[in-house]
Amino acid sequence: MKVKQYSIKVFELTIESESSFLDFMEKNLILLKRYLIVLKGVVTPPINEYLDKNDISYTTNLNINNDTHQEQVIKQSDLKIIDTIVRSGQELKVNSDLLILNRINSGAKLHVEGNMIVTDIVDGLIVCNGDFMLIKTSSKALIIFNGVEIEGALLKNKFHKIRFNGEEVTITPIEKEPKWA
Amino acid sequence: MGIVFAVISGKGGVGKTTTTANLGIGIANEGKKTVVVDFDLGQRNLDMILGLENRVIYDMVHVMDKESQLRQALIKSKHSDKLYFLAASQTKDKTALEREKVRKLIADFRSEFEYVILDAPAGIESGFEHTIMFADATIVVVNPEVSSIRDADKAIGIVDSKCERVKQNKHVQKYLIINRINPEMVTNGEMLESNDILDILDIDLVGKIPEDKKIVEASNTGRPVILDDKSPAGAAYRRISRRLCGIEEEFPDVEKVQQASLMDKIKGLFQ
Repeated sequence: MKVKQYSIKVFELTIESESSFLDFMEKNLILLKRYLIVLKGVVTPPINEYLDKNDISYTTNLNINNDTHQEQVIKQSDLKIIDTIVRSGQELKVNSDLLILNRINSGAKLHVEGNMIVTDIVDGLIVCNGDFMLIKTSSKALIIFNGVEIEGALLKNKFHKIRFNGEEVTITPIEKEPKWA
Repeated sequence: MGIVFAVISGKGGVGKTTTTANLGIGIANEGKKTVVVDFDLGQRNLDMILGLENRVIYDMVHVMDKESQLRQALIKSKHSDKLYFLAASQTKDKTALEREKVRKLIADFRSEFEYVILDAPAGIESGFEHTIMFADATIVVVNPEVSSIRDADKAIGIVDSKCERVKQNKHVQKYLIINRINPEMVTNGEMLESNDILDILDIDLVGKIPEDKKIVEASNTGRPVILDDKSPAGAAYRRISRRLCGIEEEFPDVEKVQQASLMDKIKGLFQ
């Protein structure tokens, strides 16, 4: 018996009419190809044929409960901890949540699939696809959070909570400097 | 058993070779038997700065290929009885270095000398890797500007992953020298401050060296600035040498513009 857990992103599409659906798919094919599609409504044979032809994964019976979103943040508990400086030229790819207890220097690059907390200043580039980040950056840094570019200058020298609720990114400053130790 | 220091910077032109020459003399003047080694194969410079131009008969590659004894190739410095120098090859390039030969050479230095100082080439290629591979500690030279800091950061990262000591789960001590500090520019906020540099690189500061016009003249004449009693950079190198010999030294603030004292001003009036 082998069990694996995946966190996947899905697009939910409601079919109102066959032609408008095919039209929409044709326009957004490049984006949608990379995701699982959940279809609501009647899947007619031409739609079925179109999806198969373009190699798109889809399903019609997937129950998504939106209320559990907050819980999921806590549930993703596989955590990697880094306690060394991330130096220029280092590139790290982390598939779990990440806690960094040191600085990320200019020229370093991090790719994180989970949530992320950095307790010291960030000068480098971070690509994060989790739901939550807590970071402080210098004006040199660049954060790409779920595809949204956040310039370091925006968060300059202050800790910020950055959240993604599945639709939009919200950034909230923390007025009081956290004491980590 | 001697201790092996590699002088590194990542970026070129920040003052590695000048630092190596001055610290070599400084440490030898503290009574330690010292050797400085030019690892910058193909681009030999250290011989000129030490005033030993045209004295090189055998170089490092000759010693590694057993065409010469180490003792034959070592050149005694004019400036100190305790200081020896081994030159880099001018004709061979960095590919002449082989890991096992470098290991043997450095082991020989360790048994003969108390302090071994290796002048690394700029950049982070194989020549650099061979220099740091068997070092016990590194001296990182930076200038107070962003590109130098980033290159040093990268070089430190390589030291932390490629050094033989790291592979044996031992710590490689890293000492920082901030070179060419211009006090006026720091006061005006045009230069990076040393506290910011220390935050970024997170290694131990061993000294700050003010910009000094005498360095150029010293290199040209082959008489390193540490031998000049009036030079502020020379004084800074003397303090660093003593610190590396385990002697406590004060850290005077070289980042402040030295104001002429009241007495100096009064004296000036009468001249």
